[in-house]
Amino acid sequence: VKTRTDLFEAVAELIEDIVGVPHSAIDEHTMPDDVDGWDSLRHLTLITAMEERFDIVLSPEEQSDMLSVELILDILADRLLVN
Amino acid sequence: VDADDRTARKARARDAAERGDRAEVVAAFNDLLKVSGDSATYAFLDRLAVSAGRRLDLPARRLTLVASFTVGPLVPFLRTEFFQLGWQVEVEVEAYGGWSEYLLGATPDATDVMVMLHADDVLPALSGAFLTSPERVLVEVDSFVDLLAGAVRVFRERTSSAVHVATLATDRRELERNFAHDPVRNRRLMVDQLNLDLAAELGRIPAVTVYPFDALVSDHGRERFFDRSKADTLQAPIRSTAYPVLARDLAHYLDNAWAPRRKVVALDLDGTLWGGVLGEDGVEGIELGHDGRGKGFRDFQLFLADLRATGVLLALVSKNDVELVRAAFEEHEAMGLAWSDFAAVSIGWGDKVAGLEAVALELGLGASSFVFVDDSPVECEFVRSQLPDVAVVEVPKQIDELPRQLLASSRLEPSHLSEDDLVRNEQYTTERHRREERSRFRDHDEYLRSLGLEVGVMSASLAQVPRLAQLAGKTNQFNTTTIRYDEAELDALVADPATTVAVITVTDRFGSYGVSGLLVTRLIETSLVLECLLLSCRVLGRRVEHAVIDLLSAHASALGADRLTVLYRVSERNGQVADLLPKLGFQPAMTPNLSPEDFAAWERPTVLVDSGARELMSVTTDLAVYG
Repeated sequence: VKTRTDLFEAVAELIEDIVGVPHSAIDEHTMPDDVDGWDSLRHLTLITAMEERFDIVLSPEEQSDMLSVELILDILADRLLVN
Repeated sequence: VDADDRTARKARARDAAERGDRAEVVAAFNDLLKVSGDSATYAFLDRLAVSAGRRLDLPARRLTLVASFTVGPLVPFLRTEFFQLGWQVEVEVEAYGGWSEYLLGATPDATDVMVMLHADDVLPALSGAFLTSPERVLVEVDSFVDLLAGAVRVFRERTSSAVHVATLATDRRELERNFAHDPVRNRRLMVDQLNLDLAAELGRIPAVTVYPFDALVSDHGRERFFDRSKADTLQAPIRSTAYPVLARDLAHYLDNAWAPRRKVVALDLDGTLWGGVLGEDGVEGIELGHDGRGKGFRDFQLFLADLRATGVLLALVSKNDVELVRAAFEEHEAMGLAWSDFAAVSIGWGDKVAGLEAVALELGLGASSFVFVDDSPVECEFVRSQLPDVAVVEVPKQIDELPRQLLASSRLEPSHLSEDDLVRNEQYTTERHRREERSRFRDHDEYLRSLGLEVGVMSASLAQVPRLAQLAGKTNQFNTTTIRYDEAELDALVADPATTVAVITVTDRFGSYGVSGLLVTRLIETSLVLECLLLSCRVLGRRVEHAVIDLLSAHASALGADRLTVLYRVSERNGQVADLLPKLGFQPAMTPNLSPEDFAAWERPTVLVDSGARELMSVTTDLAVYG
């Protein structure tokens, strides 16, 4: 993963797998509440899946800040992308 | 992992799930899991598994997970594994915390339940400053065992569903190694003791089994199994990377509990029970010994001896010279099994399918009771294609892996050992002796007379009801109406003065067959109506059914009835009853109103008909009969 676009693609794939919405229905502004089936259990699974896929451990603060795709990407970019 | 490769495998899994048969879907799933087994992959497969399970109409089950922690994330893993084993399971989750309230408040429509409690959740004293007052933990352990066993007992009284209870484990292990062998200062030892107490309490409740969760945790390692930070922040103590391991183990356990247990392992010889070729290498030349690869084969034989001790029958199906094989078992010093350990043997130069069929016929068991083990991929494929109900296990390159592979794919493990399991091998060995004896007689009746059969037909007592319900639940071949009486129904019938419930026992000079049958009669006007007669297949072919029917005629006449009426309901397996009735002089009844719609009634007069079978054996009864 080298760019924010790569990151978006990877996260969108995870959301597609876990929540069951097509990749095309997701963009940076998507929030869990906008998507049918993106409930708290699936959100928890998504956080776990990101930790597994990117081999990181997210702190409780980071986890609770992940309230939209944009915020998820901000946090992951901080951790994974070299500026 | 290459993302494009994963995408391609996902597409193939989706394709297979939409169109393929089960084997194709399972293969495509495993193909994806080989490169990616994380939470997202399982979430993806779970969705496919649910729709494919429905499309393929797999046998359905319902299960409620009752846990002391957040167990929801396990569900996609679990449903995926269930699908791989051939089930579609609707899984519900009871929110963490309220486990005892859930069990105590159960309603009759409750599903089967899997109870998963984490020691660190349910034993606060154990997870707190434990060493300051270990005695507090002992008190806590006792009251926890009482609470859980009591709640399970209430659940079982109110529902007809099964309960599976996981043993407990603790992830608290600081300072523990300093007290490795101190039973009151070591948390793990205390939890071990708790698990023993719990299993003893739960073992007394019917339809309750114990899932050895702690054994899985210790196999895997606590460090890798648990995740302390997730336990603290999300009440999810199991590390996400351990979910696949737990789901596979738990699904496998429940599969063994739900599916009928397979009863026979049919084994090839060369390359399976030893290395090399007996016919070429000779008895001393085969690969079997106390080190190297030969030890792998010996260990496999010893494993089979253990499996046999749990009630599994062993059989040989091999292309070989039978005398040479016998010599090998008798003379080779490193054999782990003896010639007499095999309940049936088919050794010759015919094909394996014919060999398996011969063994099945000899043991009186169907193909779905069999597991076949062979090192030849060709033979395995041949058996798979001809006998799809037989589970086929191919010997792996690493012989040490064979025991685990055999258990993983073949439903041989008992969730608990029944009395039947413990005596099965003895019964089949005795049966082998009887068969050998039978071949000495030309006339079947003469053979029966030589057996010294003793048949008892005695009124049932309430204490016998559980055994009778078991018999009613599983007897298929000789069963006139296949009514699956449960314990409550049998209790009521035994107590009802208008009906007679009798137990049939059979003994011969080789030994007892135990409780072998059940009959239920009711006098209606001038007819004695036989609502159900069933006999275990172990006693068939001995004219016991003839003698029992003749005895009932005599009983009917003593009660003043002029007819004996046998109700018959056809099932897939009880055709022999339909063949028997006309042979014994029964005719379709003139008074069909005696029976429910799907039952046929057959009758014969109580006088002047007798098969003569009672002269071949001694019949004892406490039912009223003249003379």
